[in-house]
This record gives sequence, C-alpha cells and structure tokens, in this order.
Amino acid sequence: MIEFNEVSKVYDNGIVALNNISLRIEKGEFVFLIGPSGAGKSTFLKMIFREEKPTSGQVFIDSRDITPLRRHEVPYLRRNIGVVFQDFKLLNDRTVGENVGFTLQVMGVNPALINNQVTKVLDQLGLSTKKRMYPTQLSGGEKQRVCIARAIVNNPAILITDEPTGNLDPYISWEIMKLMIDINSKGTSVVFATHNKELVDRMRKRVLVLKDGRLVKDEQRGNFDYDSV
Amino acid sequence: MYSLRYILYETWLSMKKSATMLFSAVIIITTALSLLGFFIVSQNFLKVVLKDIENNLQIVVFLEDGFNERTLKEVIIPSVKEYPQVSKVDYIDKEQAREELKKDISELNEIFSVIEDNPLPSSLRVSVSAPEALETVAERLKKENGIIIDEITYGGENVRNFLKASEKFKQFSVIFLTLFIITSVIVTSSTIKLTIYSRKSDIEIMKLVGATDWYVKWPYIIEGVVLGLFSSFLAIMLVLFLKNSAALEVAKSIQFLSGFNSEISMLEIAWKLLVVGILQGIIGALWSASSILSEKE
Repeated sequence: MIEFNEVSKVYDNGIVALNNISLRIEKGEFVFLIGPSGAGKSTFLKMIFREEKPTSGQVFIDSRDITPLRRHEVPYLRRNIGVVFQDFKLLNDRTVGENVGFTLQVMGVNPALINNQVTKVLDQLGLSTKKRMYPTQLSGGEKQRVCIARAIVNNPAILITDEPTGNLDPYISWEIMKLMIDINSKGTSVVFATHNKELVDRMRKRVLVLKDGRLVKDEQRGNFDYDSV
Repeated sequence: MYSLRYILYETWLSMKKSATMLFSAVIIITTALSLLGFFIVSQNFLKVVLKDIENNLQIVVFLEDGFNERTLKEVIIPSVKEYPQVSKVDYIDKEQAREELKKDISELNEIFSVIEDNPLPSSLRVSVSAPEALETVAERLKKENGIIIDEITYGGENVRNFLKASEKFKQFSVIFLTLFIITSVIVTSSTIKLTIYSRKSDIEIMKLVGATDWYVKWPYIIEGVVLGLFSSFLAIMLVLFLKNSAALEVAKSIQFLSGFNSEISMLEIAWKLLVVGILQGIIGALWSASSILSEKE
C-alpha cells in the first residue's frame, strides 16, 4: 500500500514539482500516472523509492512513514520496490544474467539461488536465450524486458515504471504492457507513468492525472485525458 | 560471505573498467611515495653526519717544544679531565703525530724517511660533550694551564652553525612531512574520485536496486589498498635503486660517511612507505566515495 498525505515538493530553484498531493494506492492495484511533461510524474515516482524527500507531508509504504528514513535505511526500502526506467539503466559491462541477478547480489543472496531465480525470471520474460549476451547486443524492447526482469527478480511488493514504453514501437509497447499486467496479477502493485494514450485507453485501469504538480483527476477505469482538466 | 565474494568481483570489474586512470594514479602515488622515501633517506643521512660530528667535537692543543712531559701527564692532563664538559683527553706525542700523518698521507713516507728531525708538534686532543662547550673549554685551556700553547684549533663557529641549521632542518622536516602526507592523500583522493566519477551511472544503478553505501564503497577501498600496495612496492624499488646508485657511492668514498649505506635500514623505509601508501589509498578512497555518495543527499 502506498499513501501520500498532503505531499508537496519544492526544489531548491523554486520549482513546485508536487503541490499538496493526497492519495492512496492499494496493495495489488494497477495505476496509470499521466500528465504533460513537467507535471511532476517523475518526482511523484521518486518519492515512492525515496530518491526525493517531500518538502512537506508524508509518504507511507505499507503503513510506514518513509519520510524520516535515515540514509542507511533507504536501501532496505528499495529492495522491496522494483523500478523500470525509459532509458533502461543497465550495466553495459555485465551480461543480461548478471544485470538481472544484480538486485539479488547486493542483498548477499547465495549464487546458486540467484542463478535459479534469474533463469526463472528470464524464462518468464522470454529472455532465456539472451542470458549470456550484453545489453549492447540487445534491441530496445529486449533491453526494457531485461530492466523489468531486474525489477521483479526479488518479487517486490511495488513496481514503479517511468515511461517504460517511451522509446519502443507500438507492438513492443503492448508486449511490455502485457508483462506488467501479468506481474500485477501476481499481487504486485504497479504504478505506470506514461504518455502512451493507446495503452491507457485500452486498459481502462485507475488513472491519476498530474498537472503543474497537482493531482487534478483520480478516476477508476479512466482514460488518457488531461487536456479537459 | 557471499557479499565478500561479490565485493571482490565488483572490485575486479571496476579496476578493469578504469585501467588507464588507475595507471595514472599509480604513477602519481609512486612519485609521491618515492619523494617520501628520499626524504627518509636524507634524514638518516643527516643523522649519520650529526652523529659523526657529535662524536668528534674536539679541541686540538698544539704544544710548543720544550714542555715538561711529566708535568703534562701528571698534573695538566688530569686537571683538564676534571673539566665538567670534557669527556676525554688524549696526548699525542711528536712520534705518534708523525705515524698518524704517514698513515693518512702515504706519499709523505718518503719525505719523512729523509728528514731526520720531526717537525710535527705534540698535541692534546680534548674531546668535549657538546658543541656549546668548545669555546669555553678552549678559553679555559688557554688561561689556566701552565703549559706553553702554540695554537688551539676547533671548528667552533662552523660546527655550531651546522648544528643550528640541522636543528632547523629537523623542525622544517616535521612541517614538510605533515604537509606532504596531506597533499598525497588529496592527490590520491582526487585520482580515485576521477575513477569513481567515470562509474557514476553504475553507482546510481547500484543504489537504485538497494545496494548499501558500504556495498558501493568497499570495492573502491580495496582498490585504494591495491593502488597503495602497488605504488609503495614501485616506490621502494626506486628508492632502493637510487640509494645504491652512483651518487651514494661518492658519499661512501668520504671516510666518515662510509657506514652510511649500511646504517640505513631498507626494511624501515619499506614498511614506512607501505603503511603510508596503504593508508593514503584507504583514506583517499573513503573520502572520495563518501563525498560522491552524499552528493544525492
């Protein structure tokens, strides 16, 4: 469960990225986050994995206020949250298998267990044959699937995705979407920030609309529409 | 346990990735450590010179011919020995003086064989315990003894100046050494910082997937230790080579410096350079890794 309680974020340069946001995302829920560029979507997501701290207000993850977390506690929060980026953020000097296993590696998991889990996840995402390849040898869609595999390999409770289909063609985007739905069906909460109208309109899931840092619409079975608000 | 294995693997990957930068770092740190090595050698050199000077603080009293040898041996020498600053008094008669001169300058052997009279004067060699005492003792010798003194020699002013200068050198050395170590740590830290900056995106990814600060830092600390070890080793080799090189062979030929080379313990220099090198690496790595990790905070 994710809860924002009157969260505002003002950056040092005076830009108000989030303005008094309050909302609640239930465990296992799938939520689209939309809004024009600069609306505060990325800041919203960063609040969840404590990459940014609110200027005021509180963020709760599983009923725990993460705002006052100390620096050394943050990594343990992040081990329960998978993050997928538009620009993949893969380690180019490591194989696909090593990239995916990296999340478990930093947790000090037994190498044999890592290998089992990585094989299982790569199989689930259709990447079994790519295990020994390097990110530079993969297509955009494959890189994004590796990124998703890395985010879900430790079965996190929350999956955050920041425009994961931004650089991908419509067919691959739909494949990625199907993967997200599959992951969500297993109980993981998914927060999906996107500019992809087709995906949002087709899925008819809960849609949060951010505009100038404000939550201007929160609609169950919503569609991609932020011009009218 | 598994973490250690992963950390070593991370260290290996990280060093492989920034090999060129590490090479530059090794050159910089080796140069810094070598300078430190030469500094230690020069300090030891100074110690040897000072020890020699302090052991040879001596006044030579040349005696005019015709003195009463018995009075000298039974009255004067014992009374000089009673001076509080005097540690030893040696009487060198004319014959001994000639033998010593012949020994020191072998070319004179032939001349002495044709001269019947010994032109060399007898002398007293009065050893004093401290350089400050040279002048006082010399004055007292001139005034108080009923012997006819031809000449008194001692390197009073020069010795004092030299000792004063070396005392200053010692004080400056401490300041210099402290500044030097601080500078070396900054240089090491900056070099390691460059290698960390080149992997900033990797660190960002590590942090995103839940790596702790220490998990990120350890590979750099190990890298710092390896850098320090390797650079110290090179610096030790360089100092050893130069210590035994031609320049010091010249120093060896000067008689009182003959023991110099053997008096400097290479083992002592080696461990000092190793400790400084490794500490430099660790402090530099910790400093730069911590500053980069806290940038986000």
